[in-house]
Amino acid sequence: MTGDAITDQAVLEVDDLAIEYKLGTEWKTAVRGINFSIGHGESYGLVGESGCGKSTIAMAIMHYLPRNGRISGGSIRLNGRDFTDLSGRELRQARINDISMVYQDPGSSLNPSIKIGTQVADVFDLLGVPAREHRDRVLEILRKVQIADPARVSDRYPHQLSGGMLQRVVIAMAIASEPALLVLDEPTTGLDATVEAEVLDLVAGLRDEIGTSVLFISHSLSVIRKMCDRTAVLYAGRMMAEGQTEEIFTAPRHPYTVGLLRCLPDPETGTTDRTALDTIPGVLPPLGAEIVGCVYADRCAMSEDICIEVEPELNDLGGGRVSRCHFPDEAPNLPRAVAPDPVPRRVHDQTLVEIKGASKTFMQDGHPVYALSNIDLEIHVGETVGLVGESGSGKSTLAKVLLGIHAPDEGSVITLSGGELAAELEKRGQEEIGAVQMVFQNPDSALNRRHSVHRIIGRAVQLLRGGARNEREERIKSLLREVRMGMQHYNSKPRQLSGGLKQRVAIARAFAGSPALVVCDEPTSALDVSVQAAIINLLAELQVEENVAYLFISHDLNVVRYIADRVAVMYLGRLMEVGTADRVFAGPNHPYTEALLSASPELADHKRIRLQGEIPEPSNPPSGCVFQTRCPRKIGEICETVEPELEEAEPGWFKRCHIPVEELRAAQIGISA
Amino acid sequence: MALPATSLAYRWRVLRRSTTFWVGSAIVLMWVVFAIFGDFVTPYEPQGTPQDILNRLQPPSSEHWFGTDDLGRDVLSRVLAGSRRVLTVALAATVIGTVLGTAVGLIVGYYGGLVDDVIGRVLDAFLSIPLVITGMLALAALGPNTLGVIIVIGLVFTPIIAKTVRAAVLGERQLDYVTAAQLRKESSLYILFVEILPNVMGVVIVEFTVRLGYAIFTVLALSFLGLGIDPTVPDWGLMIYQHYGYLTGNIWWPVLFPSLAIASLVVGVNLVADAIGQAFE
Amino acid sequence: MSRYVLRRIGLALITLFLISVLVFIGTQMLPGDVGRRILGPFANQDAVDALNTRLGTDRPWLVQYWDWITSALQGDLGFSISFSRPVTELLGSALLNSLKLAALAFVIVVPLSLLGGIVAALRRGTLTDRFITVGGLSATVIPEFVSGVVLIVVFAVGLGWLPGTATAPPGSSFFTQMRYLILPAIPLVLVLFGYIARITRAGVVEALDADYTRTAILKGLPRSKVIRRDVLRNALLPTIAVIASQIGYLIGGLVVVEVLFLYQGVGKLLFDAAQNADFPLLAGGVLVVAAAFQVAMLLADLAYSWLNPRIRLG
Repeated sequence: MTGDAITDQAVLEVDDLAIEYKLGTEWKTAVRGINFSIGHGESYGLVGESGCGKSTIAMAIMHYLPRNGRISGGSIRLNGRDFTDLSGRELRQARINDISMVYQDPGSSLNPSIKIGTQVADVFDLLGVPAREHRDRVLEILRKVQIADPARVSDRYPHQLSGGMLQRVVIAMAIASEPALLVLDEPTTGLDATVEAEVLDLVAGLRDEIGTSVLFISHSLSVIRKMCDRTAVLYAGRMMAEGQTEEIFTAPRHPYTVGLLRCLPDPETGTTDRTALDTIPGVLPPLGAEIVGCVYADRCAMSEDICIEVEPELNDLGGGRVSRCHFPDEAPNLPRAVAPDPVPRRVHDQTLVEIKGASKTFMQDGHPVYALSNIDLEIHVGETVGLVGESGSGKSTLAKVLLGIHAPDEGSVITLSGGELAAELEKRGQEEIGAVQMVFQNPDSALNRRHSVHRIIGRAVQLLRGGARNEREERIKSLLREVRMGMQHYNSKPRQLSGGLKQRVAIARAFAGSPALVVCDEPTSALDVSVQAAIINLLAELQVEENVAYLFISHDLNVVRYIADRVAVMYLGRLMEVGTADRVFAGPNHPYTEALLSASPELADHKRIRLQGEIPEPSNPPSGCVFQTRCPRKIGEICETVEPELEEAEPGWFKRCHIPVEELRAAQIGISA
Repeated sequence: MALPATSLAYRWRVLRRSTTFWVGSAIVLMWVVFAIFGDFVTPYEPQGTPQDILNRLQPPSSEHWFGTDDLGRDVLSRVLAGSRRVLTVALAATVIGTVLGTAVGLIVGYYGGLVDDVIGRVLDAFLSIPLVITGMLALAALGPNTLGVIIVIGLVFTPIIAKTVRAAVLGERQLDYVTAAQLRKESSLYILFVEILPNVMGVVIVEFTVRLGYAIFTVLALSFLGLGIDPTVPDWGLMIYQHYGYLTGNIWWPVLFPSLAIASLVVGVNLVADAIGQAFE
Repeated sequence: MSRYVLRRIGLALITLFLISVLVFIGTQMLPGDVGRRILGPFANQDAVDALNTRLGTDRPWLVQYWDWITSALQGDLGFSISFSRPVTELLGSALLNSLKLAALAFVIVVPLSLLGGIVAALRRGTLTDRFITVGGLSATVIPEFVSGVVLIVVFAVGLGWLPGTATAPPGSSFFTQMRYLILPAIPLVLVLFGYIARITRAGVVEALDADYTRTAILKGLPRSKVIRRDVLRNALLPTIAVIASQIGYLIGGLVVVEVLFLYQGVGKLLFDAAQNADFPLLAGGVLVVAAAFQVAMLLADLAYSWLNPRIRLG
């Protein structure tokens, strides 16, 4: 790429691409009708939910489909040359010089038995750089991706480095050859919020510097919006819409895009005019299903006969916008699946659960790991407390301690409705067990694959509630109704259900004993956007109906802002900030919360706060305030020597910071745009 | 209709298409038939009569297709009859080993901790002594005792199967449905046998079929060494033991035919085991 | 890493201790008492009792065990009843013989099965793959005496190319000795090949499918280098442990093969000891064999943890 004159020729041209997979003995079409091109220095996004084919397209572009996949039609041209028709040697040359990729899981994408430096040096070796220059070039490229100590990192093995660090290394390897096209496939999924923001900033910066074109693949609408000039929306292996990213997001012209955007909580609305989220009913068509007409028709609220009979072309709407829809201009008026009923916030002042001085120390290979330190938290009847924090924050441990899975250290006290809750599960009575339950992150792992729906729920009813046989049957049926599931799934096994349905079963199971508190541990993170909204709506409705409290653990701040009444921010086992959702999201905040908020792509009006360094190990917490090693607002020695208390700086708002709230207000409010 | 990958019906379809499965099953089925109906099919009495001694060590002929052995008994009949002992003993031993091994594997895999360490050491100690040697020790003590052979092999298989089941259980234990069960205070027995066991059944079945092959192997190795068996019972290993000395005299038939029988049976069982292993992948 | 090594050695020692207990109990279960067995069923009881007292076999088990194990640690494993020689002496020469046979089998099978597994993995799904995998596994379950017998019939009796026993005449050259050992080594090779090849294949397949292999190829590295450096390094690591664990089957096979080929190795020695209810020889022999196996496993484990950066560096 370097040295080419800037021509009109696009870097990547994908023309009517179709890809097939072999299932059993038949070849089924997975992806069809993909048309797009990426110009020089342009950043192009492919966004869609699971099964939309975005990763498949990326793999086809890289010429690395699995053994049971093949390109069945169309063409891919890289810098004008047909990329599907290259000899082995030519393909290798293209991979070395013209095209590079960054993958979803950096931990598994690097060879665990080879040092980082050697793996990065490979690229230079392939570029023909003489061996004696390798080390210098490696150090140079690692510095370029903002690795502070490249010599040390270069000498390490992958398992010794954090996810964020590893992804930087992968990015370094990818840009070392200054490729014409850089393909990124979900590069930040699985990384902590602050790390994700860093990596995305890095990619944007490098792109500006080197001028490489970028193909960015993600399921996250907000990330795509932040990173891409133009975007294509994919559904079930077809391109549904394409255009300038901002236009796609602010003035969508396809019912699917409209529907997707409505599923996300709107960061603009104030917390007092909260309304139910819209959802997209129905399920994805199975892979390879032969569908006549528009592939989205059966879930589209404005579909007409023509939609079912004739598949729409990619209609050109002018200005580079296309939409595969018969009625693109009607799209913004898409009827809602769920009425925007207000979901008012209620007042919750009766204490349900009180956690006092909870600590938990694990022993690992003889070293203590301080997972929780002195947590004081109250949860009121019927309220939602949002618990946010990154890896190592201790939020999962806190949940497990509440549930009785781990016994907290001596001196910790947890009370439920005034009575002390036994530390261990074995010592709790049937009522207590039924009162505190959990909804897990991954519905595939949370349901026993061998048990039927009615057995899964029935067992919970039997143990958490008891009662005679027919009473229990009634209860199972009423629970299924409550989670809006029909009786047709009564005897189904989990593998026959979609992700959303599985999660509903898990929720029904948690509610079997009429709980007072349900711990929700990232209940929507493993689900598609359209399904997330339905589950969030369900949880909100159940909360009102059953007057149940939630401890809602999530890394998605936008969702927390929508659903939580109060918010608690954790870092390295300690509470850093606690307050009402309104107060916390309005600011001013603890410096860590400030950084977290700035990292969230949706709430992007906060100025980006960069955090230095890595999250410390819970086995080796820093002295004084645990955040001082990375805090951009550190005031001085006091932060290094004295750990601040969690103090109530304003009524109902707590912070663990030496900086007085007035100073925080002055520093922060002035800056937010 | 596309069936989800893990259902039993799907596995059966994969199995149906596998040549190794059908070839192996055919061979095994043939020997099972001989084992059950051997008495009606053998041309001569496998036990022989005292007069046979006059006819000893005759080469294969039209009257005796496989020749006669050193007591004049018809080799073909004894080969056909020999399938009964080896199949019954091997099957019984494998069943015992699988049942016990699965139970131990479940318990050790689920509880972990001290139980795992302690029992793990004991299991490792057992596994350090090769099967044939343990068999030798036990059977030298017990004498000709078929039940003894079954129990010894079954007990020695237990740690091997336990180890595999344990690994599978460790994988399951991390999944959230186990935590969910704990959260409703299910008894440990329920979690082990109703929650976890059905999910490791695939592993158990594969182990069973693989171990069956090794059981046959071991039963025959022990009878070849003259252990654990009454000398008059028709048994392939024993037949080889009693006649391999004659090889130098060019008398090959009392040794070769039982050997071929053994080879065919074990290969047959193994093909079936391999096919089942593939179907459960 | 060093803490891991210490822990591993400690575990090995505990296992060895448990083995010695198991062996001792096992041999004690042989029927009758030792005195009776030596003097026969017709000797009078007083003579039998006197002999038992002299041999020390009438003392409580715990005392006998202690005596035995402490002498064993000093190199004295007692006196063989059936051979009338010190156990250690018998075991010494027998072990050497068995080692020659085992080493030959190993030298043949390890490269062969590794190669087989790698080829099968690289040609995954093809006929070559199925042939190696299924063929290998089939060979594994054929008992050594069966393949041994067939080999003897074909090569020794039938074609006369190779000798039908394993013991070369005394004073033979190394080459001649090897010639005698080839036929007995083959059944051992057949039994070990299948399992090692299959595990190797699984390891290579897993490495081929791994994300890091994808990264290597998409970097533009040539396939041969990717296989040589990225794949094999990760795939072959677990095979070290597998090969070590196969020594157990090797030892079992030695018993059968040595009996069949009339070879004075450890296997045949143990067999004779079991036949003659020779407790000291049996206990001593099994202990040494099991200990050797444990040591081999220990060395393999340590080699593995050294080569695997995740364990070496923690």
